[in-house]
Amino acid sequence: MKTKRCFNYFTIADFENEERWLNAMSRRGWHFVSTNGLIYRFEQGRPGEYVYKIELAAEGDALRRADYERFLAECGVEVVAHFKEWIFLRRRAAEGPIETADNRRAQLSLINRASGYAVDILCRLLCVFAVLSVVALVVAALLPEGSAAADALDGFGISVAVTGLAMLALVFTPLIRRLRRRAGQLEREMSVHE
Amino acid sequence: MGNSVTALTEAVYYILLSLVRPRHGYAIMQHVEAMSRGRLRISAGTMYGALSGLIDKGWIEPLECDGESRKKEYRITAAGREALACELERLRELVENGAAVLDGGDHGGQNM
Repeated sequence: MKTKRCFNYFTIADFENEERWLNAMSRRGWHFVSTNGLIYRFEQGRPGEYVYKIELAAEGDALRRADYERFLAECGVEVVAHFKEWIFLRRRAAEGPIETADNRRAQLSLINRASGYAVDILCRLLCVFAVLSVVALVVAALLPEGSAAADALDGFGISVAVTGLAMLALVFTPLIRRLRRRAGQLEREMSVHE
Repeated sequence: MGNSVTALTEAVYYILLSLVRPRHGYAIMQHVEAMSRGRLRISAGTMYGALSGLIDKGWIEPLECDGESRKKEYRITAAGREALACELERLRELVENGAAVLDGGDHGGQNM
């Protein structure tokens, strides 16, 4: 079977675009099979054979996740790939779409969870940066004053704190804001339609 | 019991209707699609969440399955039927008021 790899990158806030891209690839006869977040692997097949959907894995422990995936299989939905918290689902297009396209409630729930996931990653990264910077500064304080190592660690600690935090804020704030904006848009639509 | 006048979602309403007879997840999806003449397709994710929520509320119950490979089936409970009856009553009110206003020139039952 002919396969190909494509490079692409989607942020947490872009999973709907990612899903559209996978479906467009499928319509051209390239069926997605796996990803590491940057490289997407496709197998050639009949154009439009599958419809794809991206979801976040079920909340809860491994047992609940396994139960959810068993339920998906029972419903004729194949779990094609996992990447971090995301699961990539597909179903034969002949069996119909995975769900009604205008299911705002499901979209909103996914966007809220994606937003929570982004905040979660941000908090973890902030912790790592904070710990790194505090350790560097504490060790620098313990070393003899004026030594080259102390100065280097001091500089390292401060630059990690400043550059790291600024970078994270610049990267994550727009992503989270975009997800929140999309959630707000769906909420406004849901105030009129279910 | 919690059978308030709060509207049920369309998916929950159709899932409850489908479970008047024991059905597993995929059979519910097919039944809902057939009842709504293809208009409503509930995703497996939405279904999974709805079934868990309905079990927690005591409106449906899972049935014992006798083999490892058998799909888990669910059935509506008496409380679920009551919730469904309340929803039907609410929907009737919507339809009656809508029909009265649009077909009969009535202005919602209140004389101005």
